[in-house]
Amino acid sequence: MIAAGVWLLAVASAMGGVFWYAARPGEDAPAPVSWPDGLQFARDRDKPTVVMMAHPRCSCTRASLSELAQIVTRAQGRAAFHVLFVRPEGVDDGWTDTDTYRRATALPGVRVTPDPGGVTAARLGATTSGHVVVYDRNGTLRFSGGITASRGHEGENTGRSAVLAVVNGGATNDTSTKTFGCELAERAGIEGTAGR
Amino acid sequence: MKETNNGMTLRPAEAAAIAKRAQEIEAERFHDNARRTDRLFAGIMAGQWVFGIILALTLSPYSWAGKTRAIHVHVPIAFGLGLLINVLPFVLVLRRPGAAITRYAIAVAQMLWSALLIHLTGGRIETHFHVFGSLALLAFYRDWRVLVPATVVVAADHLVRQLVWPESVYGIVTPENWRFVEHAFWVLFEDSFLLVSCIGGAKEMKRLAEQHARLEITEQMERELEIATRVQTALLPRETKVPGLEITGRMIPAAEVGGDYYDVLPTIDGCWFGIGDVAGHGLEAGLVMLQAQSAVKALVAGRREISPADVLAEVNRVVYDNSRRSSGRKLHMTLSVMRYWDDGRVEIAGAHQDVIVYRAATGRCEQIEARGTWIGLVPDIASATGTTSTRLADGDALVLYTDGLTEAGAHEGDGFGVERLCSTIESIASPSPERIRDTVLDTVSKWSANHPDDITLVVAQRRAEPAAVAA
Repeated sequence: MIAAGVWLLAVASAMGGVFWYAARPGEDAPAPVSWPDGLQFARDRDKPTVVMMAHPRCSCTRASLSELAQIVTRAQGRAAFHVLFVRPEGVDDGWTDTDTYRRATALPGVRVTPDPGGVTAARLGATTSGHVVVYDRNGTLRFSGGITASRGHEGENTGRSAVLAVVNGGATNDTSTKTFGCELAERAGIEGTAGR
Repeated sequence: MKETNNGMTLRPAEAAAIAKRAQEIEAERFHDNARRTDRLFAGIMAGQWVFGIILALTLSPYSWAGKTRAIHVHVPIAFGLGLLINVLPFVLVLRRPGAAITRYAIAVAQMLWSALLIHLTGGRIETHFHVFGSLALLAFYRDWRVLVPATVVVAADHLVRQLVWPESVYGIVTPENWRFVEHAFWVLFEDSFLLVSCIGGAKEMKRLAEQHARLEITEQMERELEIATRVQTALLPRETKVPGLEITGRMIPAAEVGGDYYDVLPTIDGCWFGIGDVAGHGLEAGLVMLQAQSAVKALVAGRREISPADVLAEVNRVVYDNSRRSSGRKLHMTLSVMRYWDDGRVEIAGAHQDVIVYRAATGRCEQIEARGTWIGLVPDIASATGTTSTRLADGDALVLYTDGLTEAGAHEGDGFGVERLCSTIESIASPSPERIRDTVLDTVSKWSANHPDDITLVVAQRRAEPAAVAA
């Protein structure tokens, strides 16, 4: 019985650690309150524009794409959707040859664009894969953050609900959420080490 | 009394033996099933461990920061936490297979595997089916109690996460309080059906165990009965020539050997008769009968001076000693021993049924009281054994019988009785031993078709000329 108790405690602690890790969000900079000029693509002036910044090799981003797929389906064309895949300098052409990238391109009505050097993502304040920004047709920021509840986990979440509310012309109190995913670029001074 | 499938009558002791054996078989089968299911889960858990590692290596091998990669934390989690979850169930399956603690640990571990696999697959709704599949697999134990720790783990996981980190399980920061109940409901929904299945399975196992035990005990009884019947019939006198006596005897065994015994042992000046009935039935009764028969035969061989009372005292000592040495139980029997001399004198000792003497001169029967006590109950019966004497004239007949005859029909109402036996004999015109035997047995069979006990009848009629009669 003592051994069973010790085992249960050890497993519970390890499980707690796993969930703690899964709950650690990335660190994002604030998104500009208005659509920045001179981005590599223009926003839609008739409906909201939804942009997701993604790392093509981040496994957590699969869940973000699943959530985006749900939003796209429910939006029924009431928004313009973009997915920007950050492409660091110095990588070969196979960088975006991933199931995440292919999945994004398969989403109907979603425009997939490479983001060389992560310039656009940086301008939109995204440093974590899966970060979504939503600008209304006037170019005003309405939402910025992640659309998963934890690292790499699908399912109902605040971010998804907020994006859907904006896209459908409604109001939301949740204008920002945490983003869970890999870092889009090496942070200064730690190049060569792992990200999240 | 109960009846077995083949119509054999069960006494309370046999019914108790069946119940005890059924419990043993049920426990054995439950344990075997538990061990088998333990091994099944050990295999499943090993498979889940490998599957979890493959999932991690396939779905999330690396985490990234720009173009820099590192092993994703899912890989060591799948390996290390998977191993940690498996370690206790594996140890218990190896060291305590079939034990309750083993299946409870397996139930907890299996639910933890559900949580881990859900995590490794990114919370996919499809992986949540692992919870329900696992509950169904746990029902293989046919022990509803195993569902309790499994359900508690699921409920505790949801409850704790609702309190600490609701978004991780419900996706929203402020879920309604009843959301926990909703999730728990679907687990309990499946539990309720599995509970019925487990209880039904356990009942079926119990029923089969009872059937198996009944079959085992009945077969054992039948084997013993067969041996006992062989012993009993082997002891019967085959052909006996006694000068001046016409002797006939017949024993009709009951469905179960009732322990009847009779013997005729010729001497140079007459013969010895022995008739008795061992209490109990089956092989033990047959062995007691064998002891008594052997002892009587050995005692009267060549000892003209020995009296019936002395024979009984010695037989009692043999049976008493042997029954305690062999089984420790007080096996006992009624036994009357009679000495017949060729001048017609008869000396009777022992406490079997009263002896009937048919008097040819009057055509009437006399009852001679048998005096004595049970054989095998106490070490010495000399003081309790009485002797009575009579003399047979030409045509007179000794009629010896066991209680199976006089008590025929008693289980349905009235027994045949000694008075009816006497009147039957007296009604026979020109009675011979065979005619008395056949008439009495025919009348008894008409009186009651079923006889739960052996029926033994021996008739010895004095004649001027010696005759040989088959038993």
